[in-house]
Amino acid sequence: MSATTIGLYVCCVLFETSQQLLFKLSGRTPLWRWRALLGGVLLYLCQLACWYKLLTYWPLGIALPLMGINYATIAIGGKYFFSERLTLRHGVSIALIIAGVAIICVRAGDLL
Amino acid sequence: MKERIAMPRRVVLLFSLLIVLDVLVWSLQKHAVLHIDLMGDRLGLARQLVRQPSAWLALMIAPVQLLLWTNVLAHAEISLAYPMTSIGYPVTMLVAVLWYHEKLSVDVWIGALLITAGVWLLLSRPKASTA
Repeated sequence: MSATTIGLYVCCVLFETSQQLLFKLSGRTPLWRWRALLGGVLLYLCQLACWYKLLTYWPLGIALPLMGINYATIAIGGKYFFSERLTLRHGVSIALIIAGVAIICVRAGDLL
Repeated sequence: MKERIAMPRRVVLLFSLLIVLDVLVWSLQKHAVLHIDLMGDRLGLARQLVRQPSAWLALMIAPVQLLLWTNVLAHAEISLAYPMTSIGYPVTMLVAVLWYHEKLSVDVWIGALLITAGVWLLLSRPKASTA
C-alpha cells in the first residue's frame, strides 16, 4: 500500500462523505437545495476521478469493501450536522465496519 | 422480537433499483479501467477514459442514481438510508470474481462480511415498544 493509494483512498472517503451530507442538506432545506446539490455533484466528480485512479492500482473486489468506511463517516456526519441519533447499536455497527476495513487492509496489504 | 425496517415500501423499491444501478456502475467503471493503457502519461488516464464507452455509460447512469437518491433522502434519515446501499458490495465482489477473474482471499471476504454485518446492524432498528 503506497502513499499515493492511501492518499487516493482518503480523498475518496472525504469526498463521498461530504457529498452525501450535501445531498441530505439539499433534500431537507429548500433554501439550500440547488447550491447543496451543485456542491454534491462537484464533489461527486472529484470522488469519481480519485476512484478511477484508485481502480488502476487496486482490484475492484478489494477497493469496494474498503469504501465501506463511508458508512461510518456518514453516520457520524449525520449526527454532527443533522443531529441524527447515534446509539450504542450504531457504535457497535461502526466498530464492525472499521474492523472489516482493517482486516482487508492488513490481510490484503500485499495486493494493494 | 422481530425487527423491521422503518421505511415505506415505495422507498424500499427505490433502494432496490439503486442497488442494481450501483453494481452496474462499479462493474462498468472497472471495465473501463481494464481497457486502458496504464503506461500512458499523467493525463493519459482521463484522456483514455473519455474514449471508453463503459465509462460514459457509468457516467450517464449517475444522474438517474442522483435523482432516486435525493428522493429517498427526502423521506429517510441519511444514517439509516445510506447503509442499505452496502448490499451492492458483496454482489459486486462476486461480479469481480466471476467476470473479472479477481482472486479474493478468505480474509477479504471475512472483512467484507464484517462490513456488511456492521452496515446491516446500523440499518436495522429495534421494534418500537408498545404501551
